[in-house]
Amino acid sequence: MLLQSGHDTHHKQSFFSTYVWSEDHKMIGKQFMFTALLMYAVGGLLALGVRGQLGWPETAGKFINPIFGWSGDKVPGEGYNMLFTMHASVMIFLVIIPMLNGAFANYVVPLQIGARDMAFPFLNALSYWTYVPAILILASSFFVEGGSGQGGWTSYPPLAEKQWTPGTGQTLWLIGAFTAGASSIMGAVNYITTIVKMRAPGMSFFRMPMTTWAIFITAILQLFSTPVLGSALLMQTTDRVFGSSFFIPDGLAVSGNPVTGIAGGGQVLMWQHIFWFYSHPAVYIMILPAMGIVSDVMACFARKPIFGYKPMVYSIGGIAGLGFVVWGHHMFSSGMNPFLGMTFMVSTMFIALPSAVKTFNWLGTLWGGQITFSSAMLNALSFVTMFVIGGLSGIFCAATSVDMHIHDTYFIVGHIHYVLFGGTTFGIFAGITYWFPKMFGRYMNEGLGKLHWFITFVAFNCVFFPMHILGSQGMMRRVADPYNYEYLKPMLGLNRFMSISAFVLGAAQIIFVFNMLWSMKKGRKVESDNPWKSNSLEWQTPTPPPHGNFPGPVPTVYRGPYEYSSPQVAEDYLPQTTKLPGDSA
Amino acid sequence: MSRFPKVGVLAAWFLAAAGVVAQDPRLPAPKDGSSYWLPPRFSEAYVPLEIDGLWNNIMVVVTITSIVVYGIFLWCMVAYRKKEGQKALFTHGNHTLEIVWTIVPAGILVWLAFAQMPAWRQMKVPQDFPTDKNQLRLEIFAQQFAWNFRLPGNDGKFESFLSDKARADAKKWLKENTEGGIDDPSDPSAPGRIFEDAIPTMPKLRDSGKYWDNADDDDILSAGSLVVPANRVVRADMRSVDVIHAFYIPSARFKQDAVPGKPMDIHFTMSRVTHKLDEKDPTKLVALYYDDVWVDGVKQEGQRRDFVLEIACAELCGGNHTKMGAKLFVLSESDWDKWNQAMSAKAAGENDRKNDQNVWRLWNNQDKVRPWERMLPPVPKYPGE
Ligand code: HEM
Ligand SMILES: [Cu+2]
Ligand SMILES: [Cu+2]
Repeated sequence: MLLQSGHDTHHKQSFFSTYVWSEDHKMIGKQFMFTALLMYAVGGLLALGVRGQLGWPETAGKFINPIFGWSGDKVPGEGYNMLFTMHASVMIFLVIIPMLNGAFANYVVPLQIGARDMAFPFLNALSYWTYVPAILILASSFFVEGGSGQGGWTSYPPLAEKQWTPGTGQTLWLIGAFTAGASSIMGAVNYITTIVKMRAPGMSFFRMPMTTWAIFITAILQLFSTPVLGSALLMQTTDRVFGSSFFIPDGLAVSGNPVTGIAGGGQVLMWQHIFWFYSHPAVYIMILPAMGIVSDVMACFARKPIFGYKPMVYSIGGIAGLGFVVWGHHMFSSGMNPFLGMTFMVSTMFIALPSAVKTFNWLGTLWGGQITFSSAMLNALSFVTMFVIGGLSGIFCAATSVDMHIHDTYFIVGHIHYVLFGGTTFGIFAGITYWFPKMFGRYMNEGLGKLHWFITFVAFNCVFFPMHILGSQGMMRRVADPYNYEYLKPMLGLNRFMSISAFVLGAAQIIFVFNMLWSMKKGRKVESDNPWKSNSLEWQTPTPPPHGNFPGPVPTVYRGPYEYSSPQVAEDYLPQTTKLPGDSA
Repeated sequence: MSRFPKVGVLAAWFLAAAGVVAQDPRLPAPKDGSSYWLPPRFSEAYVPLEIDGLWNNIMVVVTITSIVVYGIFLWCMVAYRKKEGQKALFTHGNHTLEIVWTIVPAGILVWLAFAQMPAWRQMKVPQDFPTDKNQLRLEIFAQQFAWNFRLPGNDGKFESFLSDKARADAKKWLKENTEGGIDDPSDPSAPGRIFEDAIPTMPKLRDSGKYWDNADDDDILSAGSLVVPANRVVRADMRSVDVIHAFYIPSARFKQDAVPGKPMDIHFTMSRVTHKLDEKDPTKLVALYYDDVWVDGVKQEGQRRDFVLEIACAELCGGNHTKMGAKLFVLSESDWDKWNQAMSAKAAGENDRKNDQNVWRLWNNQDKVRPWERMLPPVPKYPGE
């Protein structure tokens, strides 16, 4: 039996219950989207601070220091550490995860499976209103004595412990990340329940669009891994606040003086194990939904069924499963048992496999298609091409002995940005452009969309591809002034080029945001409820969808979502809800 | 215009250039890596050779894959643009293709997984370390923000840090001056609490100076520079006294985190000699190579500097992480022996304790056993232990 929450009756909504404490998944989705975009600006500006310092280590301080109230002409080392720590933390915890698993999951999933809302609307609103305090807590850390978190987004102890990083900023970082995690868990519970229990009649699991599949599996990943991160964050918090020593061994010193007043006996590597047990699955949490989104967008704009729908689903499942047994590849140089390292190496090699399978299937989807290069499609295609580079660079990292040379260098930074920016972020652009007409009843401007895509694509490669070269040449990540090393001095020129490209990249994002805001008010109105001529359910309902999503009864589903160019009908699409002679749910 | 002046200018220029080279006994620093991507390699040991080989092999795999994938992709972009009135190919997949493109990458990945194991094992598994008898053993202490090295000197042994008297006095001092924060390790009621070797960090104690005299000590201590012989396995016991650091030698493709509370047994081998001994003073080193001078990203024409290998800290360790480098000097074996003798004699002869304090205070005995002692025949106890 399918469960439906009672939103059939329309009651009058006040401003507060429409825009602030809304329990409508569509509004919550939009709240997540706009908040995450705001955070994207914050994270981006922090990144420009990092790039500024790497390009002009002598002068960047003049511009950056006044903003944060740091003294001196040059950016202080601690300050630089804050910049990249907060850049990564904001991008990961406050942009990518909430955007994919807050905005898209909320807006798209109930519509795609034919549900009237989420299973737990209250929990859903609570999830957003837990995300907001997470932002405030993380942001407030900039304003406390000693500054924000500065141990990297990985916050390895002992450095992140209070003895070495005094001040409340790091504690706020821990609490902020914990709060973001709580928000994420609430969302995950909701998506899993909704997808399992509230699908429309005829919507079997293997008729679900890839976006929903990806979010479903991602939610499972979140549910299993995020609490583990929570435990690690709590342990470090008690270390800092209550003087426990989960991660502080005996006999350490601070500036040459022995650490006193704690029990000692902690394990440094335990943090890394627990942290990566979450954070490796988290990197997939940060990409699987985007893979789903680009699959939907590519099928639609190639007018072709997804090539190998089931292998695609199984690949996501495989990535998710293997994702739990590869965390040690982040610790090859940490001194953990080398035999453990070998098993992690083997499992990591195997996780590259489903990624490869997915890439080939995307190519298969394009093959023989009727491709329209809309701005949504261009972004989706960029996902595929850039993800290939990120996946292939992953092989260098996975080869344990090779990783000994490139670990903790810019090569890794290149790798993660090819998957997370080149991959996920382009996927987000594709998704927003694709669903925008459904959200607001207007198209985003194609010209601006293409301009944004073009500049972003070119500048992105100019910023991030050279990172592989720097890294393989031995330039470490997280160093404020690499040119303290003689062998890195010749790399300033390349770094400066990357920094200039980064400013261009940053500026191009203004185009996207402007395009969104402008198009909401002034964009071309959609001429139908299904402007892209898509098959899935979200396009078979009014625009924008009413409270309760579907006027009248929930639609019945007769087929999978990718019957583009089916010979059964004259048009090149065949919605899931169309009943042809002989069809039964 | 006759040709003659031109030739003359050329010849003069040539002679001048030759003159510069003749005056500079140094050679240009070698730039040869094993590939375009990797930095020059100064080690011909098994592991770095293997790493570079793997790098190149993976590069081949990756290049071929990219060509295939981007080739097909671009073909699709060109051949399958939308044509009005046409429908796309209606297909949901192809089992044979699906199997092929699963098996082929799987095969490559399995091959890679096996291909890298030997190097990894020799790098990390103590049982698989090189077994050369003449390994140079040393100790590395990482601290915020410096690399400190201790070589055993002429007698081949590491001496204790403190004289017996110093230890006794220090304990007494601690008892009187701390409120139970520091326990006496020999006190059976407080087992496991070890700060004896942090004793020198007590400011008052440190400043009194006299505790440092230990006549039989000829260990060579240095902060920020390491001198090793070429073609000898360097085996080190590496510790950190505060946060995690990472010992990184790009030119040897070597990296290992220094983890507090967890001594690391590491080894690497340098092959290319970078320095020789000063003819007059065997404790001084002379560079064999020169390299370019770069200021603010610009190569300074006509300027040269002594070339020296660098050791980097690759793990974020705090505000001055970026300054935590060290220099690595590689001598020929015979030069190194002379240098070792001279330095060790110097260390034993003079009371260099004042200098050494900085390194000493790093010593902590979370684990008194040096890792290799578990594998090799026991070494005699150090005096005072
Ligand atoms: C194709 C398969 C992939 C393989 C074989 C792979 C392998 C690896 C390895 C071995 C590392 C550790 C490198 C090091 O620190 O030395 C790493 C780091 C990383 N990977 Fe991947 N990866 C793959 C795909 C992905 C994807 C799809 C994502 C995310 C969307 C991702 C995100 C990251 C991130 C964020 C880090 C760095 C974390 C940090 O140290 O800050 N990777 N990858
Ligand atoms: Cu990982
Ligand atoms: Cu460091």
